[in-house]
Amino acid sequence: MRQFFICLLGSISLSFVSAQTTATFESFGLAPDNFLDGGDNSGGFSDGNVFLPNSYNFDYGSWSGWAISSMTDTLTAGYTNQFSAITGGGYDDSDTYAVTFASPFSNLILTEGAAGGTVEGLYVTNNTYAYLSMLNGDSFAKKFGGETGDDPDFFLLTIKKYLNGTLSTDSIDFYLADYRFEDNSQDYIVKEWTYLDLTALGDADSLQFSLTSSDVGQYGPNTPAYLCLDQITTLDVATPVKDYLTDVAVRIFPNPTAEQVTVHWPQHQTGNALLLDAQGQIIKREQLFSGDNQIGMQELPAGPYRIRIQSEDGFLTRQIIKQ
Amino acid sequence: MRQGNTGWRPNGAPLPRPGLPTDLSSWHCSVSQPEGTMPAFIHLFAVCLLLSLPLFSVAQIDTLLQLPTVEISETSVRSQVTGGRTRNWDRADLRAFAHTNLAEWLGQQSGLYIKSYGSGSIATTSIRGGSAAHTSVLWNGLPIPSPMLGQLDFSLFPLGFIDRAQLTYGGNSAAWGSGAIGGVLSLSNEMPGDSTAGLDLRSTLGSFGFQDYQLSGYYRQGRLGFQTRLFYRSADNDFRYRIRPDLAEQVRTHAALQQSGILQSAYWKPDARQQLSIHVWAQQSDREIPPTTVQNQSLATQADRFIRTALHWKRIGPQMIWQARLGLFREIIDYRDEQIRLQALTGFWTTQAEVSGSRAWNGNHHLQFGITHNWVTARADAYARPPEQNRTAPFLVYRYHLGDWTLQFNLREEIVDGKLQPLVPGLGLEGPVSRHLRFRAKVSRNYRLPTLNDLYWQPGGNPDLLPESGWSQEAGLEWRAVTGAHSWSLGITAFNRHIDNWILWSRPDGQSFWSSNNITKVWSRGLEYRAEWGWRSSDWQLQLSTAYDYIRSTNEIGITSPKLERGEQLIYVPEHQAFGQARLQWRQLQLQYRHTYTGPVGSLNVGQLSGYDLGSTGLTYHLEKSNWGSRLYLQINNLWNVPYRVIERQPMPGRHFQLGLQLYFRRPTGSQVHQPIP
Repeated sequence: MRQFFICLLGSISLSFVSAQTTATFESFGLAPDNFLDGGDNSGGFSDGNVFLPNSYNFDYGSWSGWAISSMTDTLTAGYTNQFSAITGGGYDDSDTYAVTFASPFSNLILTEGAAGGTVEGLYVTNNTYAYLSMLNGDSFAKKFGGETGDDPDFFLLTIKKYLNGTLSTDSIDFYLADYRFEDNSQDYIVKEWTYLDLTALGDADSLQFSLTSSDVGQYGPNTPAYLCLDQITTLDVATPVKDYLTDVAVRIFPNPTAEQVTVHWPQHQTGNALLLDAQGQIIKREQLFSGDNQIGMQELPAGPYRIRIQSEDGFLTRQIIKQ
Repeated sequence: MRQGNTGWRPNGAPLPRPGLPTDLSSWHCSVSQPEGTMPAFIHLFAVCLLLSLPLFSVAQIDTLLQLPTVEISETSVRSQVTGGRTRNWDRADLRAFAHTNLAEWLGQQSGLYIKSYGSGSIATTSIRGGSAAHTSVLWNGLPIPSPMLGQLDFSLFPLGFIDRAQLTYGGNSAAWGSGAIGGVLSLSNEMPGDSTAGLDLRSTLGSFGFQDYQLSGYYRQGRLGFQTRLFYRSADNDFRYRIRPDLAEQVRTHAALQQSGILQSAYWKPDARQQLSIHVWAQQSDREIPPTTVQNQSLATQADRFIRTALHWKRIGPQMIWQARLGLFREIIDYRDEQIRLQALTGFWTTQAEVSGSRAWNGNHHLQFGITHNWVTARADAYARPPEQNRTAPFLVYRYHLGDWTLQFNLREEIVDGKLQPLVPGLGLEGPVSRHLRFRAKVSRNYRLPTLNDLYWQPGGNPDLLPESGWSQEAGLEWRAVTGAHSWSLGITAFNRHIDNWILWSRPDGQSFWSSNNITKVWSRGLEYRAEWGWRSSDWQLQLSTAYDYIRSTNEIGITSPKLERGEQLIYVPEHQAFGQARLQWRQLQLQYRHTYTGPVGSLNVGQLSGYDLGSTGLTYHLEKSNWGSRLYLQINNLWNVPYRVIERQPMPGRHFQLGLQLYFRRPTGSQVHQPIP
């Protein structure tokens, strides 16, 4: 019986290609102590097979979503140092990593061959602003442990996935700080890059990251909800190679677009197009016929979206920027 | 590069800077009792009732009670409150507390709830369940709260710089405009009327390095008068406290302050019918911002600088009284925090002008009409460009006396940058029901304009905000009598107020940053009880007074961000407050004891803060000769060494002391008595 299962697994694995892609963010070529906060209106950052959405508000000169950083400051407290990781650099002495403000949450979108596949794992650590706030307290937030040192404080990272527009109930939980131990000497705040195995989440279109803190007031969490990520490894194994659509024949244009996007569908049999927002939720579903098909986007707010084309032969996913 | 908007938080940073060393730090006492151990609220309420009982057993009632405080006799009809509850203090009342600031004095003498971050730190008020921005503060008839924040830091106001104070409870926007919702505190200056020249020196030393030095001099010659006041104050505020009795004692750090200021006044009567006064007040304050109890250290400091100029002209004609006021205020706040590499420099200019005329017919009809104009501009890094605001408000006051009854109608319409604001009427009535019983009632509409930060702060400022507005009603009875050496008074007031379009910083669904919005309604209602008994003989005087306030001030719309339940009491608004005072005087010696109870309050982060009882006592020896006098005073605050918190995560000092000496010299006027210029 056991041999039968081994044979079955072996035959299944033969029909897939187990390609691995790792987003290291080094491709952005940032010199030390720099960051990209989306001020170039790029709408996000692509590396490996992941896309990190960013929204930049030019009126306020502020950003939300993700940023790319090579900041090395591990000493300065406060939001003026919001782009630094407490490790002083990326994983394994690399220069560059990703930073997000995950309150209430932020999403990471899988692209190319990783879309709909499994994320093998990634490295996480605390942001310097959050770390020092938990360690020492600040004008808004408490030092963990509270006045007596005995408060059972915590800073919890929860990772869920979206697949076909549905948010999973299962999650990967990781304590970036944990002061719930009876013995206060065991209390800790993470200050190293720590690997999280995400394979248990299974196939996903996107990942959702949220941070919760025990330090919550009337205005919500007080602990600065920043998180740093690096070395995001995705597996392109979810789709048989022979079935995977190539985008040589399927054309999606214009991109970016202000009003509508055209999908040129070269095949005789019909296909489907799903328009997803940055959170991976399905906004529109259109049937594709041979030739040009228009999908209206006039009513949608500006930002990054994804179009997922699927037919009996497979699927592909492309990012669209709505201006 | 500014921070990501998601990193911004709305509940504003506290403030302060460096202080000087002092030599009385050993006077401090540590606090070690557990919180909230005294059930004195019940005791105090029982005392209130006991004090009231004799009122109903007085056999013979002769005359109306002479209040221990002096009524302000301004000729402005607008300044007179009909139907509302007021309390007044004159120079004699204020002089004993000149070494304190407005926050400390109000907390001790009025029983008002003062939201203080600690000794010398930021302090604001909540009157009748209103927010800090719902107390309008007037200085010589001109509102002085910051147009950026809508409120005033009461800890920056030295009491030695005012000569008269009037506190009006409840809304009075029809008279004083935006912000006069919870109450109005009117502070004014005038020259002493009993002498032509004088010099006043005062020095006070206290626990935690407290030092206060004041110098005041005045001179009058013919139609001219001048008065100069100077003060310097510093404190280390390094008091000791304990989180819990079983934990080690801690020392409050980085809480020093240093303040100094000058107030120059000049008075001129060009002829018998006209008078002109000008006041120029310059002040600087440097404070360190102490860490909270859940913060290891703080390096934050705040420097406040301001100059306020007020000009007042008055002409008393045969039929009309004309008045004009002009105010020019400039304030700067420099907040720095080296720890987070932050420097925030903010500031504003305000100019205010007001012209009014008033006249009376047959002694029964009084009419005052006028117009005010207010121009403000402010600077802050968070403003895209310096905002400007122009406000114009015509107003009308009509007062009618029918016998002993008085009816007053106020009306005001404010136009802000060309937009009409709510028409604000007010109607008050008061008069005697019987020989010793007076009735008063008032109904008014009140409002508060959004602050410049509410409108223009980026991110989150909302230029489309509506003013907070609503109606309030109050009614009260006051019973006063004197029997021989005894005097009695008893008063009770009920009030009710609804405010719509209450402004809060919130984060609507789908928005990544906090913004100001008109998102809730607040319903405030309550009862206020006051009782006093006085007795005097040739050498002795005794006065007992008690007060109790019941205030429900509830949010009427459930909100998720910030999290507010419908029917929930507003944070930092105590439901119960009680106050008792005993004052005994024997010749030149006066002994005073005050006790306050403040009920539990909700807080932003830690749930409900325990209620607390505080006692304080003072001993004063006052020697007065024909042309000089002296006053030696000792004050003991937090007499019972009670650990308490007014604001979450901010410790307060235990028992502490202040010892002071005042010397003054006068050159009497002789028979000619100078009339004070209001």
